[in-house]
Amino acid sequence: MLTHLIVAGLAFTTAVPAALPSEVICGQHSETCIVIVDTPPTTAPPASDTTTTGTARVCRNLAGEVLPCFSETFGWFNDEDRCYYEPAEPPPPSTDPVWNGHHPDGMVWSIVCTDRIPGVGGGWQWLPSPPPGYGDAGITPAQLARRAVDQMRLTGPAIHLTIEAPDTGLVGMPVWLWTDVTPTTWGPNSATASVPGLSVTATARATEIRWDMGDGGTRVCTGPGTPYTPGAVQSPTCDYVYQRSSAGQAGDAYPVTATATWQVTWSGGGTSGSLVVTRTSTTTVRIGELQVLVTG
Amino acid sequence: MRLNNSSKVIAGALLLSAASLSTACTRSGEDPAPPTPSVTGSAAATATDSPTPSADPALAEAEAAILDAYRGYWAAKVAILADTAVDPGADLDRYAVDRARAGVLETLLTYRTNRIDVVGEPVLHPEVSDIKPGDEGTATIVDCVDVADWQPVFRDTLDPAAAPGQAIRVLATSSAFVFDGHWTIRSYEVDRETPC
Repeated sequence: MLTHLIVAGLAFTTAVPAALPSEVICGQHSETCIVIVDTPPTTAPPASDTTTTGTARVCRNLAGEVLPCFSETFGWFNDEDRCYYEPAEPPPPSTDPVWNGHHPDGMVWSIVCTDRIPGVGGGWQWLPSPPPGYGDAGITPAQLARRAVDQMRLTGPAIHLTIEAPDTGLVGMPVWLWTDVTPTTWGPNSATASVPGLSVTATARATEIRWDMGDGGTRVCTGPGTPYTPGAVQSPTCDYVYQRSSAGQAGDAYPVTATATWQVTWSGGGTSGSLVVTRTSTTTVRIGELQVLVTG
Repeated sequence: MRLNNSSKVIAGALLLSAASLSTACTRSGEDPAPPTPSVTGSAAATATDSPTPSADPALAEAEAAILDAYRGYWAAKVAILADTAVDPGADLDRYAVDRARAGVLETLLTYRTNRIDVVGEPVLHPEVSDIKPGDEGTATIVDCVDVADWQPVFRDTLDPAAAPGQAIRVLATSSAFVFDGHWTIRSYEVDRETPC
């Protein structure tokens, strides 16, 4: 070994505040040794940035500084030796000594270590299986898919009825039920959620709306419904006929609840899946008897 | 190009004879101590034993390609360490693998942690030896790297980050090999104890 590694607790007085302990670092790849000031490891709260980075995993170097657990340049962090690992790409040929006779078993990894002396431990190395931490984004693709859905900010249906306050509908007359078709009320909608090293794209489409009409009746429609056309009586797709007046209900109106069911498909991290979410909106509708209008 | 000056130096160095090589490595006067016999001997022997480019076109071609890879490695390294706050692109990967690549990236991480950038440009004097051309070619590059104008500084203050009293010319030995169809730097080690 041509190079001596020197890490000494010497207190140099040049260029660094004298009050703080300093350290000389000489890497065997470095032409120039550096003097650094030892700062006490910051006691970063472990969970403080998990909400913003989206990962529950926190990676630290020997000094306790938080590092990304994945980087395009360095690969995945291994907490056991504080080195980054990624497969050597392209891999060295089978004749290369780094395989040490193991080819084609295992893989040759490209390793970059974060300890304070550059040039120790890094480089190519054969491993029989991936190192600890490899591919660990701290969150599963399915969990990340939920986050992608959250990003879509899906709302309940934008409820429209043929009868809207302050009007009063009639017993026996079809009430048309529909929603505006937008990315957040019916879809389709798509979003990608990412944490370092993992990205999941989800696509959501509403498939049905269950209308709870407030009088005990329900109507399930497999489309967004049809906007009312003046003069028409029955909706071609989705309507409901009340049998009784809403008089006597709270506010003399029926509470109407529309619940959209969204089918979500997602893919990412080498896998895919689906999930179902619902979103609900409410309104009220007043229904009167025809005779009330006639005699009143 | 960041390394225009260095490129010129490399090109110039190629034209030097073996005799002028040893002159170049000892003329600086920075360090009055004579080079250790072993290093001087090997460097001189290397220079003497190397076939001249005109003698063997295959060797000359390999030597040019090796120096290109070495220059590329250095250009990427200088660019990466000039701003250690940003993650590097793929330039380094084109010219360096294994320990040579790891060494640059580990230096980057250490310097980033300590908010150090390396400013300026080094001056290179590479000499290629032990060339084995071919699909599994290998070679050695010995360089006397002049870092007088390529120094680490603390990013926030521009104060020097170099430990005091260091040599400004350091001996660096690299290995190159043919990888993925082209010459690539595989290892790079610095010997700060040996003047050059």
